[in-house]
Amino acid sequence: MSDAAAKEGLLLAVKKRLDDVGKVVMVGGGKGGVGKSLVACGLAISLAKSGAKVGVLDLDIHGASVPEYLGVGPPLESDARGLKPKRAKGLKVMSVGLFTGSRPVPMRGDDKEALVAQLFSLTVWGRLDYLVVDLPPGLADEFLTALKLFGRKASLVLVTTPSPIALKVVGRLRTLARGEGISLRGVVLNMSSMRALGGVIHPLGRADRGALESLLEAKVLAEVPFEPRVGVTELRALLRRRGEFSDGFTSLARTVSGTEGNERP
Amino acid sequence: MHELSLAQSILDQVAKMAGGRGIRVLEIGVGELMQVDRKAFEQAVKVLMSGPGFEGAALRVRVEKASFSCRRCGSKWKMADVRKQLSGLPDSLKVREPEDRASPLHFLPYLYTAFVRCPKCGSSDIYAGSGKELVLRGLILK
Ligand SMILES: [Zn+2]
Repeated sequence: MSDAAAKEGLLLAVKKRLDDVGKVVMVGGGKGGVGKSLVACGLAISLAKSGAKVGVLDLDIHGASVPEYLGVGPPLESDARGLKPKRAKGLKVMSVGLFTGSRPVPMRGDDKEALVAQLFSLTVWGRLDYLVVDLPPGLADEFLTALKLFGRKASLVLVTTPSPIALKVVGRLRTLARGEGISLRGVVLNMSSMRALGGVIHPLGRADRGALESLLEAKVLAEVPFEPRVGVTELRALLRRRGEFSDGFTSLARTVSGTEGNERP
Repeated sequence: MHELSLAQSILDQVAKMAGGRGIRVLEIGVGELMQVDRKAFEQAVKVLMSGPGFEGAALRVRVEKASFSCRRCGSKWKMADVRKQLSGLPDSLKVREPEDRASPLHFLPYLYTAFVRCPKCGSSDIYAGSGKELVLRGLILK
């Protein structure tokens, strides 16, 4: 951003809004296509199930998919206090995609920090127990911006598939996070397996949990199998069905909220 | 219409900088790209200035011109062209305000690259050099 005074004003507005947020959980994936937005949305739904107040902030400016997963879209509404987040059955959602619909968002780095700060601080979130932040792929500006804006209340959940390439990229993100002093919750192993031909297969390779944990120096919080109905059936409905897919998210939400074994009916 | 929240954010910044001292003069710049109603904004600031610390303070609000340039072909243009382009925005992408509909840039001026193109070559690789931010331009304490 060009102007220091304007920047300072925005940072102050972010800080004020953040006072009403309990914890920020940033979900990052390094590599695109590992299912980061799916994990962010699934986590948010699962956290809200136990009665928590949950907001979802989509920072994937160029490929916003949170609105799709949560079934919300433009137009947005506003009042004198700011922007009303979209409501998705108990969740409060904000995304650049709610402004742009299907338009592409070409944008260079210098404006992104201000955009992210505005998007968060203009939204009337109210009190939140959790703000789940869907980070963009890679180590782009939005990632560093998110660390800077939410760092003091944030922890990081990394998403990867068992594919060696995805693991390599997530490893870099882990190193960056450590350098920036952000606390790492752990790793979600997405698309770890799939049911096919009456058995279980591992289309992206089979990751050894122990090896993975020592490689990333982080705990595997959950394994989520490949669910072919994602994108066809509503995510919320998929998470209501019993099975490994919903179990993965339930255990993820439990570790994030620190309520292991404290299940509600 | 979120003028009140904009006003509040500026006054938070003022209060922080003043550190308890009274305010003599307050100058605020509003970027043209934000399409803020200057009078409504000024009114909102005045309402919030009725609290302690602002007695007798002079307020100046200035709309700062937006200027755009194209990285592809180098041409330059102003807000009038942008208004023309924004008038073609589908209703579905306008933000519903209590009494009106507003362009997304009213809220997120930095999102201009999604809605504005170079009038000459059509490129989205454009740059707004000024007029996109709300900024505290001057503050004189008592
Ligand atoms: Zn051009």
